[in-house]
Amino acid sequence: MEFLERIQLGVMESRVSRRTVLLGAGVGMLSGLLAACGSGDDDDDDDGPTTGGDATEPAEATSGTGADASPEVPSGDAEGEPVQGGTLKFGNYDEPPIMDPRVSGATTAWRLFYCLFDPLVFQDIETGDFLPGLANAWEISDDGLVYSFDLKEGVKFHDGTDFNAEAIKFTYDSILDPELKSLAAIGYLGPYKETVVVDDLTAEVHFNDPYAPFLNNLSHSVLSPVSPTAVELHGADFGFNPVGTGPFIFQEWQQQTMMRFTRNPDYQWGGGVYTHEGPAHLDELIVNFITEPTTLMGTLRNGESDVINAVPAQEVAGLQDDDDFQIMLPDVPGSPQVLPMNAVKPPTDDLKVRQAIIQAIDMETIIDTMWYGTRRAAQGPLSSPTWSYNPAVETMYPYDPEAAGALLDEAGWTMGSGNVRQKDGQKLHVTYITTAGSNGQAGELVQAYLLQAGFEVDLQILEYAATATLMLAGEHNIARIYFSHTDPVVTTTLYHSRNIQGTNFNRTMKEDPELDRMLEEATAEMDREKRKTMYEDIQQYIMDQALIIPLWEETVLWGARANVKGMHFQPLGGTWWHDVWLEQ
Amino acid sequence: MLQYIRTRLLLTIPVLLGVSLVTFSILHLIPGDPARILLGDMGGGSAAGDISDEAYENLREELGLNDPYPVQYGNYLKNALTGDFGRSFQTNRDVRDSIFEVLPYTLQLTITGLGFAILFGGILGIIAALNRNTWIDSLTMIFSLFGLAMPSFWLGFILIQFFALRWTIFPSTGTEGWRTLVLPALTLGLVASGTVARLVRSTMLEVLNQEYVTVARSKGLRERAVILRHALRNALIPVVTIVGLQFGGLLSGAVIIETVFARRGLGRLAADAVLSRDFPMVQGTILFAAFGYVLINLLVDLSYAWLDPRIKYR
Repeated sequence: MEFLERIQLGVMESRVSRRTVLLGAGVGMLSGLLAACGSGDDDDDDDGPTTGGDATEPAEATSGTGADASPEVPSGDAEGEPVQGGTLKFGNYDEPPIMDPRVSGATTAWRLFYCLFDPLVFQDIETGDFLPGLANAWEISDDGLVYSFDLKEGVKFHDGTDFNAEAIKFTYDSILDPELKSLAAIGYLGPYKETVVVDDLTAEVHFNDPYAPFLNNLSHSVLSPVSPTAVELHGADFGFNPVGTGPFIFQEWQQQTMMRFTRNPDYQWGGGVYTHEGPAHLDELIVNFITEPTTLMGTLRNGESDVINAVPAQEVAGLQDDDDFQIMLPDVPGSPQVLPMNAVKPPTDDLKVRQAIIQAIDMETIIDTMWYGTRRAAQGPLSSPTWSYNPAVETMYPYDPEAAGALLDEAGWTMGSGNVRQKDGQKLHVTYITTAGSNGQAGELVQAYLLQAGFEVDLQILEYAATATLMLAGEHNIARIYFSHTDPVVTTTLYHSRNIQGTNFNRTMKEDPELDRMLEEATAEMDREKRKTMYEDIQQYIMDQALIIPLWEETVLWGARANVKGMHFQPLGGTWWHDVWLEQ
Repeated sequence: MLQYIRTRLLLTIPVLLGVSLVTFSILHLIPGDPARILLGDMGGGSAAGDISDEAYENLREELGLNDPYPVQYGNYLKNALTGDFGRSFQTNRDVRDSIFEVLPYTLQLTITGLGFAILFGGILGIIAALNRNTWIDSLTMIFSLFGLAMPSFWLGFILIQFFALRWTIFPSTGTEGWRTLVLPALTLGLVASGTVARLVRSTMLEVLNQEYVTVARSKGLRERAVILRHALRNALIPVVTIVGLQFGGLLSGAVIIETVFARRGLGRLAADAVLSRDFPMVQGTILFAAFGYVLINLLVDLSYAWLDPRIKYR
């Protein structure tokens, strides 16, 4: 009966049941409507999607890692001579909405863009250094307003047209066009003013304000040049007929099922982080979209997939011990999973209460429990692999229920009846809004600790869209957010007061001119060492203010069959497919 | 007959109008701003670098979300009447193209599933009826109870565990080729066969007690002919009704099945659209499903005339 137990485990512990229930609810609405307007049949599906899960939450957010698992980046030497050829089947937990780098805001698309498009520069995740991509060299003016790029010669788009400075200008200008509805690239352009075509192979990008993170942003696939000819040809459908300069050529996309790329035989310009020159090793890369974690895992076991990128947590240890498989766990920099606290709504408007909340929760134990003792508990607003991470935050708020109690006493919240603290006849009540899945699980565990500390907790686990509305309205005391990023500028996104309304990525809700100033200065500082110090101060400041409860640092759980070689990883956890090969 | 069909088809227009209005209202009543979701951290926690309020407002404008509701609904109806269902917020793809692309796969799945349901349900029902009140009857009815009670995703995983992992007979995922269809259709069919089996049993029992069956028997007809030609055909009418209605249920069941087996289909399209508040896609998929449902009901009604010559439509 072992398999039954495993299935039950899968049903209970992964998001299987929730997702399925949720999908059922979604269609419940559909069939409910049909019942209402059709012939009055006996359809007894449940009511509409008023509650439920965050089904499009990234799958890695629900997966754990092996205990002693560290990112294993195999070197080409140890694996023998790469073999050309073969078709690799990649089981991807999610499907990109659209394959236009200028438009898409989904990480799952970003990771695949590197197959079809090349960035101007690459970033080495180990050192943080920038390496040549489509640009051979670059220069930044002293005032930080102009970036000038020397472009590689002889680079061609998949449609045979030349890559040149004009293509860069075209790409960036088109991102600003509101009709394109750019979701991410437009943010990555920062205070972009214009691109000046100096000559065919020299382009200057001008900004309205000094913009330090631009090289970092360029290394993201979303600012990769697209073929102007193809954009004109396909118009709004370019995202389904993407044409770039990358190591693979787009062949087909069957919605909801698969995408197929073939090797670009003319690819000679790679460079950057790639371990080999010339065309990709694989003849063909087939990306299958399998959103159900249990099913995805099954395809790796029975050979329907050679590689998958969301191994369920409970399967990791087993695969690590199995010679037929390999497990690789690249960390994701940026903001970890955090719970921002509303600093303008009582009782979390009181610094002492916020500090008490962090100290009342044994986060190490929670994360160990949720991720089978594998994933790291986060400590501050940046995850530890992020450049400029400040380790000083780690010792600020150790788990200490007594200290938490003392802080609450100081703040005037004394223990009342029913183990609920009170002040002036008011109960110590917090509203905690989060999404289902792993965040919901974390919510239940956090809630247990807060109850012990004398809080009354209203934990609301809702689907993403519903949480977003409530958080914008400031209904929460405790919210959630997670943003991966390769630059500490992500703190501007999450803590600058201009992001309280509009995007509402700042869910601390507090306008803090001091913090705004620090963030703005760090964004404009061109000196890397100075900038590092500034971000260390920012991390310290955010934790001094106790604006967040750090949860856990994200890791992508890659599983592959043993004959897959040469896998190494993009800064945000994707694979550089250009270097991957199959042992025959 | 033709007149009857024409009237029924005309009646679908108010039904579809009602469906679209209700869908539209629900979509705007439930919380969730599509623009914020597009920009948000839902798609993988890594969207915008730093999106300005201006970009957010532009996006709302481009998506047409700043217009008053009646204007939005009016625009939608006007375009829908010309066959333009808009473009998906999420993928920017033409909604009608997206639906037509996946529709055949959902039809394939539900029709095959229905086939399995009728086959298993029919056989079980007849066996149970013929062995009324024996242990065979109890056993088949317990089995059908299992079918009714089993969550389809659970059954799906069981089938994958055996037929795709333990013995790799069928693939667990995919859409191309008949082999990928077997497990999902079986899951759908087994779950639906419970209802069919119970219904076939009860109507068969009723019919078997009718005088014409006794007459058929007294004429010395073989039992096989009595059961299949005289009893079964008359037992079919209520069964057809239920099977027709089940088709709607199967359509919603397909959502879960499509996710478990990573198949393309209408249900998945609709469910994903609901979660991301992809208004045009939700409207489009629901309208198509509603239209299909109305059509099936019409076909069921028409089939009565074929099954029972006493029924005539005017």
